[in-house]
Amino acid sequence: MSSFNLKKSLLQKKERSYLNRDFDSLRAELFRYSTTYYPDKIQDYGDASLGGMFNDLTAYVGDVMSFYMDHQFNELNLETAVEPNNIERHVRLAGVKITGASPALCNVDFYVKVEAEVVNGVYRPKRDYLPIIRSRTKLQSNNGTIFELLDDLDFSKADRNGKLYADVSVVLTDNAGKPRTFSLKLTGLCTSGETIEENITVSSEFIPFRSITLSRSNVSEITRIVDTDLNEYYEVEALSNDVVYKKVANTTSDSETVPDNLYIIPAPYRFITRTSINSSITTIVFGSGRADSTDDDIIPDPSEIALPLYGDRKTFSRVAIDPNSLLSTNSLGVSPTNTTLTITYRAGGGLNHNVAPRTLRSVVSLLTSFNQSVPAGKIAQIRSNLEVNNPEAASGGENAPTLDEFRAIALNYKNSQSRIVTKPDLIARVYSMPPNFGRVYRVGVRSNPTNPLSSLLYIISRDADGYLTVSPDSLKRNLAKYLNEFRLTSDAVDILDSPVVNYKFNYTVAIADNVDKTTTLGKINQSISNYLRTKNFQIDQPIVISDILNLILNQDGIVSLENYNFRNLRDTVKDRKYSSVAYNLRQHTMRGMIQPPPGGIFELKYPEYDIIGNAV
Amino acid sequence: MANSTTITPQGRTFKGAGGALTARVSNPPQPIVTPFSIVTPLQFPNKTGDTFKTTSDVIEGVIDDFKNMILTNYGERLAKPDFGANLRSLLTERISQDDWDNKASAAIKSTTEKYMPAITIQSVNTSPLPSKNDGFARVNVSVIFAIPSLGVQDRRVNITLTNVS
Repeated sequence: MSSFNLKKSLLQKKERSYLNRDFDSLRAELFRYSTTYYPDKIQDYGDASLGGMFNDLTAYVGDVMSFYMDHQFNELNLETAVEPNNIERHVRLAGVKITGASPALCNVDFYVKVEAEVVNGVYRPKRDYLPIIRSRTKLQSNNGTIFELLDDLDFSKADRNGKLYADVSVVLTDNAGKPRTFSLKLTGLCTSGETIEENITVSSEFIPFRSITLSRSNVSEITRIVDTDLNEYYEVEALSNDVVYKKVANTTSDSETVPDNLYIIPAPYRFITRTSINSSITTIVFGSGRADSTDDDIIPDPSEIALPLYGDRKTFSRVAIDPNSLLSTNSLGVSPTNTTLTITYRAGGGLNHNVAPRTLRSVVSLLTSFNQSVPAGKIAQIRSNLEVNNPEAASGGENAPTLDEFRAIALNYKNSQSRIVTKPDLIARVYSMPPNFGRVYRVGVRSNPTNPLSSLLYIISRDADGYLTVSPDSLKRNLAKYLNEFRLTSDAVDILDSPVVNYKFNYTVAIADNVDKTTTLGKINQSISNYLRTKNFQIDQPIVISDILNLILNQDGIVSLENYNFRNLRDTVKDRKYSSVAYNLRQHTMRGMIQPPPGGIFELKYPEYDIIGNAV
Repeated sequence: MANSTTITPQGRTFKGAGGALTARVSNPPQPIVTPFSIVTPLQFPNKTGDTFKTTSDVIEGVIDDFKNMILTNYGERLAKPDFGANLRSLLTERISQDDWDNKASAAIKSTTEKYMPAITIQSVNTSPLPSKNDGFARVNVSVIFAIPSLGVQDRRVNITLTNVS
């Protein structure tokens, strides 16, 4: 029979408290513990005693450990982390792209002077002499900030009727008053900072995820990376992304509204960038695959996952398959070896890059192209006469965000995602498409009544005059390719043109005798025009009639509103072109609101003609 | 004494079993001595089982603590930066003997009130010791104190201060 010695077990059990965390509570617990369980050793634990000092030392160690435990725990949370490296990791993990100082953007007017020519009796700038000012032309502001032209400026570019896009004015006439020299103005977007080209020699040693650190800080974008074999490396969000979008000039008839078409191309040579918050230095990280290896294919081969049956084996069991193996390689892109990389990137930025108006006046480096027939002397003359000016201040230049700013950005960024799940996701994704592929002015999403997995995406664009117009086909094709990368496989999106409903508004009011009727009506028309302007309307947004009536009745001098009506306008009315949508506004007025057709939008196209007020 | 052998009816022998009553040792009860504090400077113990030599004399232990406290300077005690009389900083002050006495007395009284309130300082006397031409100052501090709760009166401790670190 086993005997249980209760007395012995109670004596051996020493109660410990794990609730103490700071110096004072740990010291008090140590004192309690020592005097309870070791009263026969020493009794003196006063502040001045050696026993007290040992207690202090032990409590100190516990306090320090407790502090670091708290500290490490805090470092796990973005809101409470304080160490810069940890905050940087949190920010990166949240998906925020860390950047240094941002460059400023500025519209700059470029003026060239060319001599006149006479064609069919009409004086015009000599077309053959008109230059193309190339991108990367460098300008300098009064404070020394360098700006670069982002896109080529082709002064010879003209519309279908042969009219130059540039603003043309006469600057010099002959004795008979005929134009001798013309000045042409084109506006180009310039950005501060400089384009830098670095050549990096890469050794023959294969290093997965090879990283290269750029020499300059505040890199705003990496324009191009190409190796000696002319393989171009593309920047991706993550190395698992194996395709990129590429813009290709649109050569179809709608190229004026959609300059570029969107293509999706495979990107076996790819990289990501990492920027340090502390130093604003950017590091490029390449993939982990070998370009010359058969094991790590650049392009995936789905047939490789076929199940082999060896020898006499006739059967096989159910197996689990990772579908990602069909879609991607294991390499996460190619790591460059034994080559020289030419890296072109833009660097520089800051608040002081937001230069004042009319301070970008000097050209540091002028890149131009001329027709081959232009004499060298003329080229030199045109180049030397080039003038630049920025009528407005540069904007967008910002210093590098601080740690706390990055923290705030990351906390907000957690809600974003790179796929389309909800309607707001879809709308936000449409608006985020780069404008080169066409700009969508308004987007509306409705459920498809015939297919629960499909959404109807209504879009509308604006023409050069700011009026609503049907989005060009190229834009819709680009949008389809763009959205396809973010949609769920089971979802479908039908892109449709939003019907534009044009209308006019008539009203009759009684005005007090002591006020001027014309002035009063003008004020009412102006306030209604402001309220009904297109920018205030979304797709599927109704017109709230009582809001308009309020505007009328709240005008000083208005005694009463006698009558009013909304009427649909379409096709051509007195040389004014409207949309072809016929819509009965009265039929669709419910509860004081005029509802647009499904996916439609209201447009008061010509307020000066389409708002008619009468006074009695 | 010769061992006797007894043969029992069963044939068993009890040779060597037990002992004579006169062989018993009577151990008188020992007083339980409870150590009060660890003696400084640290010393190896006289008996095994202890880590350091201890004293069971409460008064000796308190006086030992008191000496250590007077010899301690600010910042030397972990987690108690104001513990000690901080007399070393006074050693190199160029002040008069009276001022030195007053300052040392105030410092000792102040730290005693805070960290050893059981002790009552009765007087503090200081006297500089002759120089040994080694560049160090030496001062003898004599403190007379009482520990009313232990019935101790007019106890004196003599401490030699030096700025040798």
